[in-house]
Amino acid sequence: MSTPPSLQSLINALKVLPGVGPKSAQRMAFHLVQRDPAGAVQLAQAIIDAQGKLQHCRLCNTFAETELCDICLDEQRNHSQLCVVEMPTDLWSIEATRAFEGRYFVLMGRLSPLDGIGVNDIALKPLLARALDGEVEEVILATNFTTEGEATAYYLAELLRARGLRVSRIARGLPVGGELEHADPATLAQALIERRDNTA
Amino acid sequence: MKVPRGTPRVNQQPAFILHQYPYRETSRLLDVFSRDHGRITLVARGVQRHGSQLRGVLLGHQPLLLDWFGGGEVKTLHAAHWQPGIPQLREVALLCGLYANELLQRILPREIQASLLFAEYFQLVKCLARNAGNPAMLEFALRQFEGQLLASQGVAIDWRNTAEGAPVSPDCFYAFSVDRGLHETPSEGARGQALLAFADGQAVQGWQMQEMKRLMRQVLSATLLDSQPLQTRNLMQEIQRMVQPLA
Repeated sequence: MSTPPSLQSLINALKVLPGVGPKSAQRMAFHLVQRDPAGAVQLAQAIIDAQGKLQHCRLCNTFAETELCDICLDEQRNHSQLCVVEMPTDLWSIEATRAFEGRYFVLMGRLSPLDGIGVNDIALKPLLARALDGEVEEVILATNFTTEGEATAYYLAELLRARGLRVSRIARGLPVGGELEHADPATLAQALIERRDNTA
Repeated sequence: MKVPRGTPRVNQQPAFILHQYPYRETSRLLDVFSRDHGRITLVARGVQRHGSQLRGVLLGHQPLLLDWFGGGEVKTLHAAHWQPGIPQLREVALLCGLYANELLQRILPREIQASLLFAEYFQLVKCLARNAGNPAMLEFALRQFEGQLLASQGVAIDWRNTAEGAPVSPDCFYAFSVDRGLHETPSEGARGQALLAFADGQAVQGWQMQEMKRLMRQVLSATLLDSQPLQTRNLMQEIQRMVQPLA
């Protein structure tokens, strides 16, 4: 017996999600139509809403429902510091620390030459416009400490320094409360290599 | 992890990760260059889970000891141990390391042992890590590795003689093409002086290095890269282009 076209179409649609293959998509589809029809309607509406309402903030490039996001609209934030992150989730992680009062720029990706992702595939022009707005004095590079995040940080540092901006990179090392005995050796080695001067 | 009896397994294998890709919800696929098994693909299960111990070990350009099992095209990583001694690559040295990885990904066939090239790659990574602030040294190390990579794939260039057997003269210009091999050109090539210095293993610098770089690019493009551009080279050129006019 053939699958009803609407069910098949739901299964196919679910396969667009990362990590979801035909089997998982089928299981999800059956769950939605059989066990949780109310949840299915809610999900459909949420997707339509998000797709219709979300846009990129004109200044920081993160997702927002208005032209400017809440952080960019907040006049209390420090306009002289700009923190560059790869994804909105990174921005949320930093915001949750309440350790940073400046503003952000979200690249929506990172350079990854081995995946064919080059400088034209991340939001470089809006970053330059933001960093050179005359108010920013320091750009803090908070891309991930992965090979690609480091390569992106290097590229951005060269680009921004050449334009006279002060550029810093977030620190890496032992976790807070970390004991040397339990630290992973690669982190400990790098913490020693990147130790800071404490004489002052 | 329970492994069915009779499954091939490899333990404590020296290896480097060339690149990694997200795979399913919590795993990664690793493109690995190993000493005794050449280039292989491993799946690292659960590495994306919160608190995974493996995440701090599966680093690019760091010597690792890997355990895996499986006989198919994709094997399963069982354990990974970081080996000390090489600082993580940074800045321009990191881009050089990525360039070497892209070359290996493009050129090295899978599952064919290349122990000598592995040793040479190990040396290259060490050299990149230790000379991070010395661009001339980084370039020389890359050119040497390109020569070693070419030789490992059966493209051994004799920099002292043209393909026709004429000795390279210091004052003449040379180029490379598929049909003619290394040959003399009236101009617009690499000077023989640069070729001879490179053949002697001298750390060539300045114009000699630039000419060797262009010549090596011709050789790689014509022989092993099928004229397809390298993404890391594009990125390095982009950096130079964007930085220089303002520097």
